[in-house]
Amino acid sequence: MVRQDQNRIASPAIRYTGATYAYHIRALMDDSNPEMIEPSHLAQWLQRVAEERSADAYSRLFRYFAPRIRSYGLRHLYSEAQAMELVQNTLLTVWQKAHLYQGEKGAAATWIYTVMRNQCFDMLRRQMASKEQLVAEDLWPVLELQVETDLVADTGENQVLTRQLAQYIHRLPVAQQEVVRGIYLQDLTLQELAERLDVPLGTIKSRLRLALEKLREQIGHADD
Amino acid sequence: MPMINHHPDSQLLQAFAAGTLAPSLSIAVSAHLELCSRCSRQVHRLEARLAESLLQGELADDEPVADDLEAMLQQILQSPQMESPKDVMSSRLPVLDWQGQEILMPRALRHLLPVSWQRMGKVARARLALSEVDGSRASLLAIEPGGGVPAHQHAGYELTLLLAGNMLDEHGCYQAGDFLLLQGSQTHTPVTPDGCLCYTVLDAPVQFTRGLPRLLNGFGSLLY
Repeated sequence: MVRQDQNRIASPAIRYTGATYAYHIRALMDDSNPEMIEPSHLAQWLQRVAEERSADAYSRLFRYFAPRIRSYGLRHLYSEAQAMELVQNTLLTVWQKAHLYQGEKGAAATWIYTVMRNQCFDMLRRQMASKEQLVAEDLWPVLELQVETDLVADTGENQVLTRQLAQYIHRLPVAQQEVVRGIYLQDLTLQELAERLDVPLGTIKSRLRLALEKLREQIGHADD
Repeated sequence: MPMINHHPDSQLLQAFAAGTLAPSLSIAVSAHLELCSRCSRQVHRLEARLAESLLQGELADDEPVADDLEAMLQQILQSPQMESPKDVMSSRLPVLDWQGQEILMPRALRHLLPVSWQRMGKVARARLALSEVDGSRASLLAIEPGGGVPAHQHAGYELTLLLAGNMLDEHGCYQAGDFLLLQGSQTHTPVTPDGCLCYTVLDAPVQFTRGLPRLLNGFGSLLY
């Protein structure tokens, strides 16, 4: 099924280059063919970029989104050059960070929109030459894994409990924090964590043991 | 069990999702979302709708930049895809010592801390280095138990986001996560029985309306 979808759009994309590219995009997006690209295509492409680093899937995403992001940039920024910079910043991020997209949390287009909005915010901030360090990622965590969204996804009592635990975790040494977050918030295995952090499995185990001892101690004190 | 009763209105959430809300107010909305799953879900829905309109929006003519876009695509495909564990692990949040407790600060403030405090009676204020085009000023306020701010009104708006403790005024009772936006000419007299820590944004000097504090009206920057 996937293959069939690809073929429908793939063959012209290979032939058209350069100046005929704009034409190609318009032909692709022609209103008479509104069924050609559906949200599920976008999600499949993004997934293939994340999992297989597929240049083919990425090219489709790029050719679909680049004119749209540029149009957005022309409305929100001040020049053609900046609009193109927004395209570059956004779609390079999509290429590099596709693995952070989580399909169950929303549509592919929504994720790419949030990446673009954040890049645009940071570009506008830089133009003001403001010295302070407010960055879009702090306002709208999109790329930094979903710890915060996981926190707010919980409701009621669970949310408050999670937030209290986050307070305790924060007081641990950084190396132990990483292990606790990796295992309890990102559901990584000990082995995966060892690979990501590039330390021996035994080190991960001992950091986890120390962290849990400390947490138990703190939670005990809180109950007193 | 703490309950959040005061939320940003839908216009503010929409502007936040679109990235068009003033950064100082965006910080407050972002901090509120960390604690409020209801508004957080609402923002996700708004982002999905904004993404839809990005897909369906009108496209600027991209004929002149068609070659540039194609070159950009090829260049991105040459760059490595990164899978840095740092993306995933750098979710540390700042803490602030307040009344002997460590209070976890919103992530939106994490590059704006630490701050230096100025004290006046039971109120301590720390101005945040956040440059705003609209002239608004963002601060942290720490008010000791039993303290308050004399009756006052504002030429513009006053935003208060409670971070810890509680606060009462003529309009209601507020605790951590509550989001309170007063428009000009609304007078209020906040008091805090147990003390509170809050994030505030003012877009014009405070005008005191009763008694001796009116002497301060000429020195508006005191609480602004």
